[in-house]
Amino acid sequence: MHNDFLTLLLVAGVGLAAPLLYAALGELVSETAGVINIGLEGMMLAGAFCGVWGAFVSGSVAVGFLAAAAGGMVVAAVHGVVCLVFRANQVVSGVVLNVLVLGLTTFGIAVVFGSNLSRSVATLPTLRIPLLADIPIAGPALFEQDIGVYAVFLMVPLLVWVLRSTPLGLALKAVGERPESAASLGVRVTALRWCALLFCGLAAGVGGAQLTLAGLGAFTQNVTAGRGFIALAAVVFGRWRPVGTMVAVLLFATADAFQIRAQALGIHVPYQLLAMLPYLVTVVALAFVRGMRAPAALGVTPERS
Amino acid sequence: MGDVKHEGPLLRLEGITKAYPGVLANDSVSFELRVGEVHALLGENGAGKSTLMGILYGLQRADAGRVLFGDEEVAIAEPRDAMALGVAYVQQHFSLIPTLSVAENLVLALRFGGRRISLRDGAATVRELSARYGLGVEPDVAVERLSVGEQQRAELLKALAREPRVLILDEPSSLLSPDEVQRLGTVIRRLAAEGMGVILIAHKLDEVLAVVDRITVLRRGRNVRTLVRAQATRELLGELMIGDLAARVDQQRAPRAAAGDDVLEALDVSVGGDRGQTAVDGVSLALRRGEILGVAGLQGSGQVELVEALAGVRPLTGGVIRMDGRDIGALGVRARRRLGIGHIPADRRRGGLVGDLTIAENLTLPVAGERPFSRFGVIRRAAVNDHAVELIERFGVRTPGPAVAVAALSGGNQQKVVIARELWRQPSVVLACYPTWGLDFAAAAAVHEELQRQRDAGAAVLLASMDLDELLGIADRIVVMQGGRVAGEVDADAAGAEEIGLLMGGAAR
Amino acid sequence: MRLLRTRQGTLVAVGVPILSVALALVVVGVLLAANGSDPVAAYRSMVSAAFGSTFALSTTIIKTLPRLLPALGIALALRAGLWNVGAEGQIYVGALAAAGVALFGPVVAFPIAAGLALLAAAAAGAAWGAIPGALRARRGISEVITSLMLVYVAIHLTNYLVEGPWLASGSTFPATDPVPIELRLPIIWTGTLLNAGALVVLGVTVVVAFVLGRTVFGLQLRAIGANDRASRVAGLSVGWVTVAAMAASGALAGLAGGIEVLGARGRLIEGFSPGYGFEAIAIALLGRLNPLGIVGAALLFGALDAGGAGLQTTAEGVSSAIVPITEGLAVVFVLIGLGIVEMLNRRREARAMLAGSQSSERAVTHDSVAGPVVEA
Repeated sequence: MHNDFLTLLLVAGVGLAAPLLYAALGELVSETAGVINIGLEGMMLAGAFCGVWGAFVSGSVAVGFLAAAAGGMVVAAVHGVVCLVFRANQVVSGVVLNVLVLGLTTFGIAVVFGSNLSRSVATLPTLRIPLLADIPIAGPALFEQDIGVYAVFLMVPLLVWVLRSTPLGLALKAVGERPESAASLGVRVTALRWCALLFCGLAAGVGGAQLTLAGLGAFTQNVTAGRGFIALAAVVFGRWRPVGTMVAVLLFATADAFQIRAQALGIHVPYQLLAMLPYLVTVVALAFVRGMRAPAALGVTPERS
Repeated sequence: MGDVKHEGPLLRLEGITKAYPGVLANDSVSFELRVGEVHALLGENGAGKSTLMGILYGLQRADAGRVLFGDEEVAIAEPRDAMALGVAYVQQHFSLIPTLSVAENLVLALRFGGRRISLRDGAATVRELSARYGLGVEPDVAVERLSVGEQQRAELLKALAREPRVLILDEPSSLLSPDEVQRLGTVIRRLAAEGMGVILIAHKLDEVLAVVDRITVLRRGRNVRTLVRAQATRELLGELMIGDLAARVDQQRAPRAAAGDDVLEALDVSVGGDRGQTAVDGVSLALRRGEILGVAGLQGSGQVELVEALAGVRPLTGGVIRMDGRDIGALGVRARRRLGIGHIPADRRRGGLVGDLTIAENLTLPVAGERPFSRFGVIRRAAVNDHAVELIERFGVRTPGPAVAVAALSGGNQQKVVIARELWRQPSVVLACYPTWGLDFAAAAAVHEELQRQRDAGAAVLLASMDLDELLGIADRIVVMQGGRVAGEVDADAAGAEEIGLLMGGAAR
Repeated sequence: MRLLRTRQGTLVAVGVPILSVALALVVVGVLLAANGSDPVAAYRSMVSAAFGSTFALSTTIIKTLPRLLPALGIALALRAGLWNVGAEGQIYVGALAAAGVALFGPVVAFPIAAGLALLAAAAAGAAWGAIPGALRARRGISEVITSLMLVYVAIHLTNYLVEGPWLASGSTFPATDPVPIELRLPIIWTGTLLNAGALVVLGVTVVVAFVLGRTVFGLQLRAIGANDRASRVAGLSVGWVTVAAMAASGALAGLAGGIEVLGARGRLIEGFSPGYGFEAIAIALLGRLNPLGIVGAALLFGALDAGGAGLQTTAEGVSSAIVPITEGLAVVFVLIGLGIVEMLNRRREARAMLAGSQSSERAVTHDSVAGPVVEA
């Protein structure tokens, strides 16, 4: 029973972590390049909706994911037009996009399904990796998941490599830290920020679809319920690094999974207080841990000469 | 490489002319650089050195003139063109990304300069260049953790990795300690010995004389003279740079008023700069009642930081500030104002005024909480308005009225607002930093008059300036700052004038 | 630190938001039409539901209140150059404090009891706002992330109390017991829903406008928002003003939460704010940080909210989507519109500079007045 609980906890934790991790990694790239997306929640929500919509219309989960990526990127593109082209403040734009996307998806679900809950759609199948999945306790969590989960965890080492060892990664960091200096080296600052931002939209959109198409199989109004903000917190708590962000996401998701499992077993935990945890530890870490430093030019659009 | 000194010209600038609104920054300037030569470009601030180099590097475009490499005329429209010709420019403000390591910075710079190398090769290049020239730069350390001197060498290394034919160093020693300066000199000689042409923009004479082959002096946008090392002495260069200072002293000036007691004293004061360097290093000076103390210095000499520290805007890292015998080093800006310090900051737009607020609001900002301007936290508009109208009249601010946003005023009128705000209460200490910067003649004269009026009324005035004419015109006594220290003190007369140039250039007394 | 250009022509300040709202309404009309409703009829029914009767009007005002106060708070902080993204959380802690006083506070007569509860609400909001302010002032940590994170701390704290210790006995619906009558804000217009909270909000709005325009604190706030460096040189305590501005901003949002509990809702209900605090950021911007403009923008969205309820459509959910879509679109249009105005201004200034480059000393805007940033 004890082992069972742990196994199921880890399986659920990793599964719950995947949507968050998509969004958080996207945001990490974007923030590294100096663009902050308070609208991450909106990007996820757009992805969650478009994913279900696409899967419903086409009958294919893959098409759903593509639609989700496109949905997230459209939101990111609006953010880019407002902030990178017209140089508006990134915070306002992000907040407002959340409001707008919440409205649009609520409207969309009503129009497409005639109710505030979508019909069920097909979900991603679980892909069990033989032998490895038989490892006790951790096996199922790591090797009995859907392809969306595998993909996002493989993205972590990929991002580590890109950010640490490639000119692209160096350029991204330069653009987020000292855009003027980067420009003097010949780096195209605005173009690179656009790429990072669109990647963020793509990842957050897929993350939203991971929520609806891998787990729930349906869309309800405001289905993301603040996950975009947890992802934002994870980037900060993970100190703007891929592995740190992954650890933060796993921590937050496991706490969430614990609360769900505990309730299922009838153990009383004040789950609301656990749900508060990601935000609280992030503020506390910001306040008390030294060296928690955001990219210097985060949220600042440099003057064009 | 190896064979020293081809005497052929590597690069020639001919008849370069560049006008900015109101200034002729370069007036038909010519300059020649030979292979394997270290050639210094010397002149006061505003002599046109940086403009000339900016044109060579494609940062600005000349209105007239030619640039020749060898015998071939070239067009340099942007830095990319200059880089392609083998020109590298190490500017005063560093272009390193602080959070990346030295090797990463190098890879990034080369990659976007058109050369792909891996991080491992980048690190190897750093080690190799560092060893070859004795730069002592480690490849894997984040730039933000390096000292200013190390950052400078990392910047130099980044330029060298491009294997330039021409290396421009802009004020390379301004932030360095004497040891680091000497080390840099060795590196420069080494580079020249390998056949590189090095242009050194500088104003510290001793350092220049230690490393150069030839020197070209500019003054007010024109060539003064080009001379070889052997012809040059400190005295001659000082005179060429600054001109005949003695002649600039106003002979008609009223005899110096007898100065009173010390009011404000700085004892062994040290202050940090914006880049973490030691901007002011153990300065002691005293401001006396009824005297204008001039603080002369070039850019980066520590004047700005010193004034800010005296005013309480910038914290001390060492030393004591006393006012009327009382230690005020720990007091904040407001407390010091209450004691009677008026501060005209270096940059009126960023540090002096709040552009979006009205003239009346700016004038009352420091005293808004006091009667009669407010009661119980509520501003009394009538009092604020009357006060503004009175000061506008008294200090001759030209404006349609007190409710105009300060940003809409001309520079001269903005400065009058600052001066009115700082001086209307007759402070016992006036700290003025570059108070006439960017002003036209009439506006500058008005500022000078006001400072003299304060002096005559018994205030102790400190005037920090880069403009020697200004200092010789109204200061009673002049302290020269150089590299964060006091290089010497002179009287504001013909004899003193001759010494200033030398002191500003870093000669010991 | 300057985030917004406040010094713009009146035409731009008023014209751009109005045009943007109009454009947003047109787009929403198109959406409604695409959904098969007649947009003209839809808007007509909305106007009628928002303004058609005294009851409708009172509903509009009731829906305006929780948007107006947080928006004023956000504007106040923004005047000081600070982003209070956490108004939503401050609304919730304000509501918590008011409900706490209602449930456990001393038993006193009406105006005092309600007053105490509202004071507690404002104080709680202030504390919630002061935390990011203090972190910014003392540690240089951006207030954006911290204030945003604290929103969810507040929401989950509310959920915990309302579903647990404070849950009304025997209730399956997550809410507290109704507020005792001594604390209820009474109806001030018989036959409608309008309660005394409207008077409180009106009074506070006047006070905010007064504080911004006429007090030393308001002046200091605007000074640090426009140029914190010059403010420090002038002797202002930038840190103190930062904390005070964020606290004041939080107090206004907290008060809005308290008024909801004592007024329109009559008790603390889980999730009672569907994002008023976030909408308020949009409203503050649409109102161009001007109290009067903010009142106008808040009324507009209060009316849309009230009107949406009267919208007859085939699908449920459409009506509740109208407000956020219109708000979102309007602000996106405003941001783009202001961007275009700024670009045109720049181009004009550049042309003026080229034309008048003969004299070096002219009356020009602050963008081109040179300081001694010498040969670099």
